[in-house]
Amino acid sequence: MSNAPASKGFVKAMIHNSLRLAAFALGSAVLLVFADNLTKDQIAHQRLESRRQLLNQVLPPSLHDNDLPGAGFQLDPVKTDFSQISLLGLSAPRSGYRANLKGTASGVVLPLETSEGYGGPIVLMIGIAADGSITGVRVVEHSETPGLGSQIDIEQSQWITGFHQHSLADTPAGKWRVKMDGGNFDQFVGATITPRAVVGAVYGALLFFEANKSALLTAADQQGAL
Amino acid sequence: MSSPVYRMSTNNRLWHNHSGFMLLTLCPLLAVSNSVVKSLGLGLVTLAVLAGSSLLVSLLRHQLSQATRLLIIVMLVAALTSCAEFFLQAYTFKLYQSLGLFVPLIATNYMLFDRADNFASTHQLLPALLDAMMKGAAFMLLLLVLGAIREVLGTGALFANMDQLLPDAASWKVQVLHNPSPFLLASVPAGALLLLGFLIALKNMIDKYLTPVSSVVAVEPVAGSRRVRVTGKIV
Repeated sequence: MSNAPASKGFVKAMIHNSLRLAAFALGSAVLLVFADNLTKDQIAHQRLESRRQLLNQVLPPSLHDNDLPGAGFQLDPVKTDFSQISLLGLSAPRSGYRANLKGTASGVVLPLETSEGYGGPIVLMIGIAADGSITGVRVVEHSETPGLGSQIDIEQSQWITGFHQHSLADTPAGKWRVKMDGGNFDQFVGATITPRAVVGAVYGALLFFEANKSALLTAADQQGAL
Repeated sequence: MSSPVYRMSTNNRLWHNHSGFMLLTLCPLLAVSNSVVKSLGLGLVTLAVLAGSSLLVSLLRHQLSQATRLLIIVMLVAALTSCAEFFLQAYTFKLYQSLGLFVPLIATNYMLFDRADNFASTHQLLPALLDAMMKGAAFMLLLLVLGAIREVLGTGALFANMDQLLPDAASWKVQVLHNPSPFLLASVPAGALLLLGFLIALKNMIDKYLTPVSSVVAVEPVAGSRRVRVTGKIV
């Protein structure tokens, strides 16, 4: 048993190192909890503020007097009471928002997704007034080519505002396409796939609104009454 | 704490840090450096995490055993990166959104472990901090140069969206080029890779230019000496 002292030392070192590592892990955890507590409220506030800004862009404050982030409802692509939810192209549950003005439903903000983009899924938000006209569309997430497809982003081009005021009533079914395909909406030089995807998604959202108009708008009334 | 250590840190980390320039920090460089505000944001966060981890490692260097040192450094860097992420999210939410995944990826930047393991763990507080600051500054400088060039070439403007980082800087945007179709390659990661190659070549050229000058001066013959003759011509 000549190696008994060595193994004793080994066990001792092992215990020491484990304790040392555990102490540092505890220290790191404390640091993280501390930082989390310090910033938690501010982060929640920032998230809410950013959401509110986005919602106010797609549905201007002149068209609603309720707080949109507080008027959310779930749109689940699998379990839902809405008909034809596949028109929104959602891959996961996302929130829609109901707008009220003076106690009556004035519109709705819907999330929509499309996988027809050039660089991956594109996620959008669309605001639709009670009369079925578009009040605003914004891209929330995309990975389109910088400088080409990325012009769907409001920070790079005003293209996305081209949908404003349009509705199923003023633009016939065959015209919800990019100009190259015989429709009414511009494409970009060097990028047709991205605008084509966005126009298709917006058209889908309008069809969904039309199919669920009463559910979307009546429910908003009930929420206003609550 | 002697001054040679400071000089060594300043010289070797700020300028003579090929490993840092070449390979270790490529990923965020290529992905994020397409505008000044994003470059500055990522550079500052990296600098803060680097300084913080070097500070902690230097302070606690006597508690680190050989066997656990690297593990503990990895843990500290990861924890500090998460903290930085919290604060970035709380106070510069827009910038956090545009930097996205590359903030947590700071924790995988080898430069941080390298400084903490090879320098801070064997040095006192101030030298370790200076070393980290210099290395971080070099990284930030490189990011800023890349960001500025790419922003001008890719979008034609400079300092756009600076208010994401500094609230009063919304009007800093300068339109440099009035070209309706900017040079798109500069905006995409491939352009960043090319540009980084040019920058490294430029740095190598400067280094090459600096070295012979000092050696030539050292061997310059004394005026009037006629010991050295290259050709047969006698002056």
